[in-house]
Amino acid sequence: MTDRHAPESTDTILFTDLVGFTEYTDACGDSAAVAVLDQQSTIARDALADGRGRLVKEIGDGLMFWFQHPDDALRAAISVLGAVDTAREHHGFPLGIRMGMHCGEVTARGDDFVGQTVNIASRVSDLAGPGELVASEAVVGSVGSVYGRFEPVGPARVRGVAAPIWLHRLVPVHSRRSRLRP
Amino acid sequence: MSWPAPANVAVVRISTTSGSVRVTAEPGRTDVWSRSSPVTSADESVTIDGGSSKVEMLVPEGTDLVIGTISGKVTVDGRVGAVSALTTSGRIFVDHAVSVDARSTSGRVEVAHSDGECRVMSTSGKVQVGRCGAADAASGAGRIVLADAHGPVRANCTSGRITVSMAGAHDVDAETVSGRIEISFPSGVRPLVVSSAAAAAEAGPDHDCTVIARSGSSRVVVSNR
Repeated sequence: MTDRHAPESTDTILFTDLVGFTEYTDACGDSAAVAVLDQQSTIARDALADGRGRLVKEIGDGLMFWFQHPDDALRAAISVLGAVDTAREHHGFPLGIRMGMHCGEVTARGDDFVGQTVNIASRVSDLAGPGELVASEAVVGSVGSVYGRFEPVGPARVRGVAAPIWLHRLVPVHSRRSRLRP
Repeated sequence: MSWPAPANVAVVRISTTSGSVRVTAEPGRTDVWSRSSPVTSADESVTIDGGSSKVEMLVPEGTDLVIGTISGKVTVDGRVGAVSALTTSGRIFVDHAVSVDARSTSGRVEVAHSDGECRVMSTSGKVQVGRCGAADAASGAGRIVLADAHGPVRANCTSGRITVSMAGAHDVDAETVSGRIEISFPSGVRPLVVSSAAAAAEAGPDHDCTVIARSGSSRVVVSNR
């Protein structure tokens, strides 16, 4: 029932999504929406500054990244989460971001990647809350613990995939969310 | 036809594609019983893969549950332990758990009672929680209702209303792009109401708790009752 076995490939796909972007555009107008996307692009570029991954494409307000190893993807994801938190607190960035990550074999198609690993990563991001990174067990089993700990979320069923995908949420070492802990 | 499992089961893992899941915790029960699906047991856990079939189970009170479906409805009745439930389009209902993490992409999520932390999310469905400890609730298009929160609350909604009733002086972080925010505290609790954590950090000490509330286009109402 689990995907605990090590993935054959460490290619890692990370999807992000700005929570409420459509409604924000409706409420604040196209210019404000473009400013948000520009700010997000800057944050993404900064997170990829070490050259260990790349932005594959923008999908509306969402981003799709590729990394060679889950460690690199996790490092970049935490960088984005932290930068968005900071931007929200001090620079008026209006929206939260959610993220999903999975690793495994991918197939290149030009500059793009396709395949079940990509589909699963997209599905994983759907199940993340605002300000949250959710990762598959394949990712969690491949990364170190220096960035935080992972808490189990449960088994996600994905159409076309026989076995459940076990998901975990990252509890970063430093998080704005931790302010609300009892 | 039924499949019993050994006693002393701590965790029950249930997975279906389109089949609904109903788990009932019975007082005094010591074993796990499944009406329609074979039970695989190992150590102190049992696993049920129901495929597209409906899964109905009886479990001892306090059992931890881990449930995943694509489109099946998830219903948990009675007093259980920690519950994790994921579904793409099914509705989730949890009666009484020690803690809850329940997520649905499009279905409604409802928790009547969580002794501890309650993390609930629905992309397009309503999120409703009765009594809970700390809560972290998120919804896309649906309303969020936290009726009796006994710990810190974080609520994030894209286009629905957020209604929170706090049982004591705990912090609240509530945000919605277009819906109204209503937060109430017991009489005598003095919340500091601000629109950012930075503003909260600059405030003086003369308050019992902090409310960070942001609504893009609607009113924010914080009151005592």
